[in-house]
Amino acid sequence: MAATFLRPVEGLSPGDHACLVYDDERRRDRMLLAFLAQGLDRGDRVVYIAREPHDPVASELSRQGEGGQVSVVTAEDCYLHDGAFDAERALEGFRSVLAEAAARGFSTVRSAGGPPPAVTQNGSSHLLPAYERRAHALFADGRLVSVCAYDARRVAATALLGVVDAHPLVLYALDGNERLEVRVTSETSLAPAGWIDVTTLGSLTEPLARAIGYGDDVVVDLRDVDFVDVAGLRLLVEAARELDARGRRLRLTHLPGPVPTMIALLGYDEEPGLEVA
Amino acid sequence: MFEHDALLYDGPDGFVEHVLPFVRGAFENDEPVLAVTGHRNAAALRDELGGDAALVDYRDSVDWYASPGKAFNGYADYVARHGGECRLRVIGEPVWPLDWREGVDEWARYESALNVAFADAPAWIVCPYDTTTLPGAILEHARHTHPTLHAHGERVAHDEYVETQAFWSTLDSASPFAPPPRARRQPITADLAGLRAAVAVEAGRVGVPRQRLHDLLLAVHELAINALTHGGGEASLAMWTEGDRFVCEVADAGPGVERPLVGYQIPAADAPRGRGFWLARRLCDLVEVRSQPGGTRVRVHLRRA
Repeated sequence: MAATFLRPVEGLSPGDHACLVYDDERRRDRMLLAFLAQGLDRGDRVVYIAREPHDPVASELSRQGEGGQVSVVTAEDCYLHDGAFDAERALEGFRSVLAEAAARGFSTVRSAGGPPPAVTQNGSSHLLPAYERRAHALFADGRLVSVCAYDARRVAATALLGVVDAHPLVLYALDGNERLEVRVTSETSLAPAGWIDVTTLGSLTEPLARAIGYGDDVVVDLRDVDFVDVAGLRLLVEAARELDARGRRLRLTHLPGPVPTMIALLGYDEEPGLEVA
Repeated sequence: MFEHDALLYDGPDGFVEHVLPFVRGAFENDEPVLAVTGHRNAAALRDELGGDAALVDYRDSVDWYASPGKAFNGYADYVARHGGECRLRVIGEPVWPLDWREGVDEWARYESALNVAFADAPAWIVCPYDTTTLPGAILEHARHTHPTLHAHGERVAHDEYVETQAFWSTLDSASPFAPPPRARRQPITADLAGLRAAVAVEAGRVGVPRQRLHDLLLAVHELAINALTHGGGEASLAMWTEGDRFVCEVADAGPGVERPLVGYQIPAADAPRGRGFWLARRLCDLVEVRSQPGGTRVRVHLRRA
């Protein structure tokens, strides 16, 4: 699927199936709460899959929400059957929430959360990409919007790549990656150092989104970047499109030798918002 | 409609004798002509065309046919730019790597894949095969991979054509596809930087030219991501040398990919995946893919210094 980055959690709309990769509970909770609280305002049916029965998001939702609009279920109840991962049970749970919500006149179901450690930390994590691809069918009629949260520290790395790939939208709440240091040299200029690849994208996404938020062209100086892969280049192209839509451009400077060739091969040399200096 | 003929000709005189009516026919119909062939045949054709020689777009076959991926995309781009309303005529004569069996097989697979990939393209392509220099096996492939033969500007029916999938399967079963015991092997994990470092060290040791190193690293990196994300949770890398080539094979245990088109056609701008295979085909000298429901093996070849 086409992973799209650079979308704030508040920018999701019905039909969106997003993945949140996090490595810090507080940032996860803050993002999921912002997302679910927006659903309370809009009159969505809100379902939270809790890390723990009384985690901060669960408590805050019970305080703000009205009975009948908000449900909190534990990750164990949602994803496990006799202690083992049961994809069918989880999918059935979503289907019945959708049916119930429709019967009661809710036009949208908004859910957030992710599978419990029993799934992500034992041998069943390799089943997650296939589960997420099946789950994607639930979004087809535009009545469900979800953020599936995955702890980057606890999901087997190979499964995590598959999980990310199974979602059309990916959000990150990650601390820095030692392989990519992103120096912010001004409001709208970044100087990443290291590798921009599928394993380090999370570190660049937020600074890039923030730079786009200002009213100018954005400059990314690549002189200290040793390697850019297709996913890395697509993130930059995504940023260029975002800027182009606002009448601005992304300027790449000091490109490593092979990058212009990649840009040309992949057909990104005709992106109106991308300027290669 | 796509027409794909094999022209089995007998030295340069034979080339001109058969190709000239084909080219003249294009002029009569106002159809553009692209001739991708060696210097000798190009010169012979120019001489014979005289004042009309400039109406043909000549391209050097050594450059055009540097790899199957490059040739495929060369034609795809050319058809997109010149095909339009009227039919395009092409003379396409690959440079066969005579001393390299995998190379010959993969070029034959490429010829066969054109029938599927270009099925709707408004092009008539004639592939000349010099019977005085090419071995019998390649001439046999020519008949298996071209729905029609060609003589004197006319298509000629024959009964030796083999459908693409069947042709690929026959080639697959004719040769085993396992890395040799001497290959260096390692599992592929999410430590892709570590993987790239391992490939770089080995490539340097066996003499892959520095200016080609990035092509190799990017190809293996993208194939490794494919293997990790669609590969059923298990992926591995094997590296070895074979003659003047360095070979890297990425294997996974996934549900398999659809041949023959995977890697040949450029994915649409917003297509989710497929760029890994495609880039590998563009960046490396040769790419081989074997795939079945239990797993996929992708092998990339790069010439050593």
